[in-house]
Amino acid sequence: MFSDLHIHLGNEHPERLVKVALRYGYSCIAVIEEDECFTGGGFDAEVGSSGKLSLLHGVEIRAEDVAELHRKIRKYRRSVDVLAVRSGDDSVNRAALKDKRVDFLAHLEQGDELNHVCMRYAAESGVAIEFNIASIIHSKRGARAKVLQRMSETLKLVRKYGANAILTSGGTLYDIRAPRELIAVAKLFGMEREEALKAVAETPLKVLKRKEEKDARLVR
Amino acid sequence: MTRLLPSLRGKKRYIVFEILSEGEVEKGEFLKELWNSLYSLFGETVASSCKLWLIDFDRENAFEGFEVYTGIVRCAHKKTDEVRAALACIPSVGGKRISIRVRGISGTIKAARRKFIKHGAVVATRVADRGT
Repeated sequence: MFSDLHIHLGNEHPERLVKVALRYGYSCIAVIEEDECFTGGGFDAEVGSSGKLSLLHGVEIRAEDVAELHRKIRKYRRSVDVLAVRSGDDSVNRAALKDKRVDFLAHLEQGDELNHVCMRYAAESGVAIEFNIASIIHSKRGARAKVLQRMSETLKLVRKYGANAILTSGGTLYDIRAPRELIAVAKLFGMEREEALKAVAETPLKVLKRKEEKDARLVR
Repeated sequence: MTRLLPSLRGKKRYIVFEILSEGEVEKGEFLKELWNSLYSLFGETVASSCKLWLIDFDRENAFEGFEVYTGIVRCAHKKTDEVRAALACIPSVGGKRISIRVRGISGTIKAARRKFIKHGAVVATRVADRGT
């Protein structure tokens, strides 16, 4: 059971994404849209053969301040399966990692570095920290070194505070990598094999399950 | 020159990979990208200890509008993770976007071909010259 919770559609047909994900051995993928160009999904109808694969739909929120973050979370939470927040300045990160409605904090290579305070919130709320492989693949030299450095430092804190970490491909169709490749790339910033395996298999499902439980509570 | 005894040659692994590409991929360009990826991720010292060598590079039947290529690279048996990461970190070859997946790893060329290369799926002729 492998999941990739962060794939962008780009200009591709969702069917192709599903075919590639199945070929690569995924059983769950999430198509993430940025909040500025959110269309509302409806991919399931376009995709014929998603029986073996659960295709989720999500949004990536970008917020300048905490008020905007809360407003956007309220706006999107009920209409998406996966809610991601793009890493921004420290106050936004803290607010996002505290908030149980958020599924994961995306693009940790951007924005302010996550510190121990953020990580404690993440561990308490169960919001996952995303390690985005596309940011490694598409950067070079100094930029790549910086991305790797930040990832390995964040990973240390993730370990220390026991936060959820997930591995995602994080790009468009051609950036999708098979689970084993994600694990091999994760080794570059110091993730052990078992850790990385958990981050593509168990943890994403655990993170999504939190939402189901939350929904159940809301219904009651 | 006398050939080194098999027991004295380093242990090897054969990595079978497939490329999904948006256009035609040339073997030489791919190999250049692979080496570049290996250098930039691990530097020249580790790259040298990988003992990389391209064995096969073929074209297979198209899949969902992608051009599909399969290939086998030989590497030192303890460097499979590094080579796998280097393969995964190639975003494009000759300006064409690609996605690489490792189909499997084997200890001999024969087993690698038997297990991971589908017979009859190859549409283009096998590249005759080995490596580069």
